[in-house]
Amino acid sequence: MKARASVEPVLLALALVALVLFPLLGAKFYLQLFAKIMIMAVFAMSLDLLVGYAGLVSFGHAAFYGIGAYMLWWLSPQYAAANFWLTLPAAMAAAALAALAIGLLVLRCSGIYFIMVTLAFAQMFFYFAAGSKFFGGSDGVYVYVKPATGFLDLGDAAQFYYLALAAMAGTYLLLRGLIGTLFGRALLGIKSNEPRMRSLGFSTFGYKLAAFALAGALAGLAGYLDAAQYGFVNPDLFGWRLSGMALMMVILGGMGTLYGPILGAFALVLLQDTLSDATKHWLLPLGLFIILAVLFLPRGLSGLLRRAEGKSG
Amino acid sequence: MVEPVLAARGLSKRFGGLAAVDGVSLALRAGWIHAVIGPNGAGKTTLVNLISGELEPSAGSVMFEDLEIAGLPPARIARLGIARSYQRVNIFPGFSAHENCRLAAQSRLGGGLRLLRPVRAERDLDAAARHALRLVGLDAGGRAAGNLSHGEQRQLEIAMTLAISPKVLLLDEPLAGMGASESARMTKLIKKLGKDHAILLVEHDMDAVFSIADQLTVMVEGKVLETGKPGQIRKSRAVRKAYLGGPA
Amino acid sequence: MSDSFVFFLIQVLNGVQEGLLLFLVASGLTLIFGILRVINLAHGSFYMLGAYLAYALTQLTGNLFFAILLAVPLAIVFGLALEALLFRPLYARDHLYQVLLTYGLILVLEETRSLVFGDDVHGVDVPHFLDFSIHLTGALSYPAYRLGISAMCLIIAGGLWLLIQKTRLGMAIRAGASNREMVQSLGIDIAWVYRAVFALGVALAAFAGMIAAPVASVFPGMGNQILIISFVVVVIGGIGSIKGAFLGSLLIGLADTFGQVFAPQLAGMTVYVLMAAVLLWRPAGLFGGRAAR
Repeated sequence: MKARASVEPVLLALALVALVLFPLLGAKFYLQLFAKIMIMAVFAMSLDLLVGYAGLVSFGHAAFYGIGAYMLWWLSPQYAAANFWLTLPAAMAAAALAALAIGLLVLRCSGIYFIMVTLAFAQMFFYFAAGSKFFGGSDGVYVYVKPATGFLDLGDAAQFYYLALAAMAGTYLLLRGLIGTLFGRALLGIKSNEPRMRSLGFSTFGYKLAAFALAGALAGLAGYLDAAQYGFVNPDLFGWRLSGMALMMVILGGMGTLYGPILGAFALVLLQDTLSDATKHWLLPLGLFIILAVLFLPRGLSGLLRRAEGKSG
Repeated sequence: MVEPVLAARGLSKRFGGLAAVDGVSLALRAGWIHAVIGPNGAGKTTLVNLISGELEPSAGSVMFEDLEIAGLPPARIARLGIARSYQRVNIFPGFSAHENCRLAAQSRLGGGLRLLRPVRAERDLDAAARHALRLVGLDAGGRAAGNLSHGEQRQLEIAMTLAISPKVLLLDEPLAGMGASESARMTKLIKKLGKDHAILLVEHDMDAVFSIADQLTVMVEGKVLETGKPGQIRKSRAVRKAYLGGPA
Repeated sequence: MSDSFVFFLIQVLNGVQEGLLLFLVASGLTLIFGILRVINLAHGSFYMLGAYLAYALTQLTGNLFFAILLAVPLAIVFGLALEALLFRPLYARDHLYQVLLTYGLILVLEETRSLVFGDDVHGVDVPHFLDFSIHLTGALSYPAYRLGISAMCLIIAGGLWLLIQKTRLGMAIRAGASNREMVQSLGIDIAWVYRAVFALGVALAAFAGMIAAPVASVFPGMGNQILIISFVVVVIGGIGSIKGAFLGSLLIGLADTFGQVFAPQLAGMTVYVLMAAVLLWRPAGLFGGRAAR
């Protein structure tokens, strides 16, 4: 699971350069599309921290995404710009606190029960928002004016694109750094053999809770940016389809790699985009693609990369 | 008589109507190897689980240096200085042997902001891991632990237990599945470790047990049949009848 | 009988009927997860397919009863084919890949349904011989068909109980997947057990969709809706436990029905609050002891 010091950093650097240069050639539509993908990548990476590193398969991660989005709406004055530098940390803090509270309850469960109880909490948020007049109910609410950063105009597609790119790169670097710390090693140990960790003296609950809270905060970041980009916040942002989509990105891209979820985000959103242009029933080929990928790509897309490098998959 | 480091008194564990361990008492002393022997199903592993905290006792107490540890969670007990090894190899197969031991040694650091330091900077942990591996005589290179031979994995199992710098070692059938030369080497290692630790050794290999144990407890059907020095146990009629069978 | 008592009785009957239908779907799910150790997100889609099949065949034959007679064998064949093609490679894989593959399967099944049957909502007529109401009091009466549903579900539940307690297949099921060797030493071919259990699960879910069609109507989102609820039931009841699925289904059915009547603002949330509460008290479900992974 260690980052092999070989081709990967080079490839990632190249990809970063490509993404930085992209706005010079890309049309506005693609800038918006790629920004959306990079926001999803942040969400997927935060889930990978749980799934690929701590061994916690959450099917309710969208709960924290939704909190980030609703927080932007809630803290935004109706017809004026919110302060980006105040509202973003607040949104992430709210998501982290919610994750802390929920984590304290759900981390007592394991396996399929954990998957389901995380789903349950996300569904509770969904139904609460859908049933609440204050939060706009199932129709949702609107953020009419994008938050103000003081130097970036988030209304401009290219500038928003760079913000999303910074968020994605920043998340990647943060998590990559974290994995290399003692905390990160302990998480990997917990994923590998949690009972052994306990018998060695680790209080595994605390580690899992910390990871859960951090993942929640990062999901909140993604949700906040989503709300900033489209200005529309509705209960579907808590929904199990979004949680499921993120899980697909992590698994398809290759969990436990961090760049895997990024690949997964690009692959799934681009696939979705091209297929939906081709046919109304684009979900059918997408479904077939997913099925075939599982049957023939045991390690996800990142496994393909590793096999291309000649390493054991 | 040296004060016991760890003393179990009247330890019992019931599962429904069945008593897997029934009123067992024994004492571990620093520098002594206390072996527990008995037929399969006698409750030996359950006894180890009770002391290590993986199972909660139905009755009885376990005192470790004036502290009652019965019922404490295993992580807490391990941090107090009681380490156990497993009958079935229980390692981190994806990590190298060195990483396995380094992770084990890391448990001594507890929590806090120190955890955010990169692994590379932790020279102490590396040293502790190397030391543990040297003690057991395992040189595995960078290979993943899951790819090591069975004997090497057993050595790693012990190394991990040592890496947490324990005072008490609970060894659950460390010689299981080992060939003759590996067994001899492991037995020698346990004898050496016995000088600095208090060891509880559960084993079936009678040659090994009788050659290094300072004290023996014989368990049958969850109860203690007899406790005493090796010579005394060997001569005991009751023990022979129940377990060793026939002339020694 | 007073009106309010009868009203209460009607809610109980509705809740029980909802719970029993749910039981058919959830029992299949819990068996597939408990025995085959496979998480099957597409299970709700079988329910949906059953309903659409029933609709189409009822149009063809004019009678729901005949439609079901034709549709159930079709569902079984479909289940056997799926097991052989897609699920067999999954048995050894990590749960995550099962989640992913069955998620893709949902998409494929939904879109196929959309291509073949379209996206409209359909109604299915109640079969003639059950198309009457039982008069209870004053203005309140209860549809006989709903009682028919409950009766059919109870018969099936009884059949399942007999299967599990009295047959060799049932013995294999009780032994559970963790005791593969024991099952094989009983002279039972484990691959056959898997096939049988999977086909049974599919048939149960599809059948539930078929008999529910007249009361719940046939609409595109019905599969996903019942899937999530079935997972809640399985989790509450404990994975692999039919008894747990039965109790969990009734609990959910009643909670949902009464929740909608007495606390509509909380509508939808009740089920999840209940699940969270059960799991926080018993992290492995009510009867989920040994199977919990």
